[in-house]
Amino acid sequence: MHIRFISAIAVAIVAALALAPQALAVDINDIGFVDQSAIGALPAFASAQVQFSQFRDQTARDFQAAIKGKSQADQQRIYGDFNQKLAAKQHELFDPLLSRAQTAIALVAAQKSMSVVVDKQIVIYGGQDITKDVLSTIGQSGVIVPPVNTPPPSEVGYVDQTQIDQLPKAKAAAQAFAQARQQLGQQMQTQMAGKSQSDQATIVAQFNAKLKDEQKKDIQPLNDEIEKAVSDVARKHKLLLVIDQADRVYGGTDVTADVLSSLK
Amino acid sequence: MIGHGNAAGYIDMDKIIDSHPLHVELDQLQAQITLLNGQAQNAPVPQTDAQRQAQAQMEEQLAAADQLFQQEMTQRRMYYGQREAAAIAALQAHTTGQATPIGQQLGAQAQKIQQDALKAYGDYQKQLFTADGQHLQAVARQLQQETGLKLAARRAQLERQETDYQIQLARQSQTQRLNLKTQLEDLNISQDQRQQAESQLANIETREEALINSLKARDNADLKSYQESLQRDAATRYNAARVSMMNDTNDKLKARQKQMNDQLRTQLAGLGTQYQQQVANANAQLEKDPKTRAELDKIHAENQAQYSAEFTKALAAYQQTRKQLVAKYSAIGHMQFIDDAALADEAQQLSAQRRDLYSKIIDQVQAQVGEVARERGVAIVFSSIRGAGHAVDLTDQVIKAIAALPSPSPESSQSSDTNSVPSSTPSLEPSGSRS
Repeated sequence: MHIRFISAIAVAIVAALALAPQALAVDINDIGFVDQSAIGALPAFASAQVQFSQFRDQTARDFQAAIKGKSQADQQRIYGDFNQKLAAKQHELFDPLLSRAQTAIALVAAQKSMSVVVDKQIVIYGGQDITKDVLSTIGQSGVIVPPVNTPPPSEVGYVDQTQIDQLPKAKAAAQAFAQARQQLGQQMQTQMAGKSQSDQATIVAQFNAKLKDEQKKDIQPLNDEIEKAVSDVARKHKLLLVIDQADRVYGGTDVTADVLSSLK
Repeated sequence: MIGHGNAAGYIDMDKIIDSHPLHVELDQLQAQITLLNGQAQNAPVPQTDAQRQAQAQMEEQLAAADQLFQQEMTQRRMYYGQREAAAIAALQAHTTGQATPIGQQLGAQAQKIQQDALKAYGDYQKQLFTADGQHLQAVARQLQQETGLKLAARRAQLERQETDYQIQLARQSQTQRLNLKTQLEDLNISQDQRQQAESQLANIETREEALINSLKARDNADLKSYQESLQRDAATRYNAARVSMMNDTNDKLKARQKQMNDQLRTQLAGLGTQYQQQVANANAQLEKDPKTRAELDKIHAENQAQYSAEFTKALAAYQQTRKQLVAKYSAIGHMQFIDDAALADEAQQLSAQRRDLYSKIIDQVQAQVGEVARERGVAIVFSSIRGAGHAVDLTDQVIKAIAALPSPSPESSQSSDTNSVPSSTPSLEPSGSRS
């Protein structure tokens, strides 16, 4: 009886190990998240935003005055100049704030021995919320001293989706879908003219269904291919998962190059 | 919430939402929003001058109705704000034993500043609308003139072609016609021969007339089609000018409103600081007294309720006015105009409803993800990933967990009725009434 009981435990342990071989080895305390919108709502950011809005409004008025009576080419050139001015102002106002926030995140993450910090939006359960610590660090007076160490290797990978979007096949798929959507939209507008409300509702429903089909046809196969490539790379590097670079705030393992080479 | 466990998980949020029992409602709301947007984009374009004029008048009156509504609401808000402030100040004076209610004089100053600012804004708006009306009339005149000139040029060209053709036909039949006329001048020809020659001459004329008429008919059709295309082009250009002008005016009004608000804020902030200082001490004393506290809450609740009731009533009247204006000018212009603002309002309400429903679904998903994660010993769950490695996919388990929940009733899933007053009914917070 005693032996049977022990063997039952052994079977259970073996089964558990077989089901989740990697999970047991993972130190989950090293994944943190931060609410970036809370950082954006800090008085310093809000004030910079107000200043930028005022500058943008003034620039828009100046732009309207500057293009009056100008040729198309001149207008295009002026538009470029004004956009550059806007970008320069944006950098001037926000770069120091963003840099301070980034240093604060790095410092808090290092203090808590985190290998990766992601945006709060992509974490639906668990993880360590470091928002409060980051806000308090940003709020301290004086210079924030960056951590000495770089983040430790992380089992969370990230990929730069914008680079994937630049692949010829990704561009072709996006273009095909955009064209189909435009055509369907025009068809819908034409069909809706002079129709009753219920007929219009039917036309809209048909439009949505066709759009879904188009998405399945144009986009889905590529999405599946990308997902498979990313997953293969994740397994090869023994990663838990891979997120979009836009959702990564600090640390993590960059697998973009591997994914791109696998997709080419 | 920090999860406990030694595994990481992820879910496919889109898949979960697609299989959620409330997903159908989400889709229906989206379809209604798309439909409203489609209706707004598909608004019929006025073709004639009368229709354009009707549209311009309608828009002017809709804007005036909007201004009136906004002004009324601002005044009501100010009225109730001041009434509440006065009631609270009186209560404070009574409780603290002061002779003059706190901030009475400052309140009057604030009221004057607000009224002056509103009047200046109203004058500016009126001035812009007048200028817009004149500009549109000028655009319509110019387009009419251009259309008239182009049409006259085409008509002259076609008439020249018709004349040339007439001459060409006459030249072709010239010899035959001369022969026949010569025959007819000969007095020795028989009656039969005379009749035959006359008949041939008549036939030539009839044939030429028919050919000319046929060309004229073609030209008329061409001219009509050209006229229609010119009118369509003029309508499109007029509409573009109108939309651009309206956008400009809206931008100007927004800028002026912002400027007015900034000025008001600065001016009122000065008064507010003095007022706040006065009420702060009194409030500190009042807040300690439960009776006074209850009295303050009662005053606020009463004012808020009365203001909300008036807002609801005024909004309904305003919406009715818009409907009537659209119907009136649709009848005048013999075409169905669309009230863009009403459609936008409706779309906005539906969007808010959809947002609420979506949040509700997400909350439910989040709760179930938590349950499943705890059961599986998963410490962290991601809702958006690009690819999975060794993390656990919890999607199917979460879908099952949601399906096992009691099914939601339609009432509980609807946060508000589409036709009800927008949830954004402004709240009434008198400035500086309470700390």
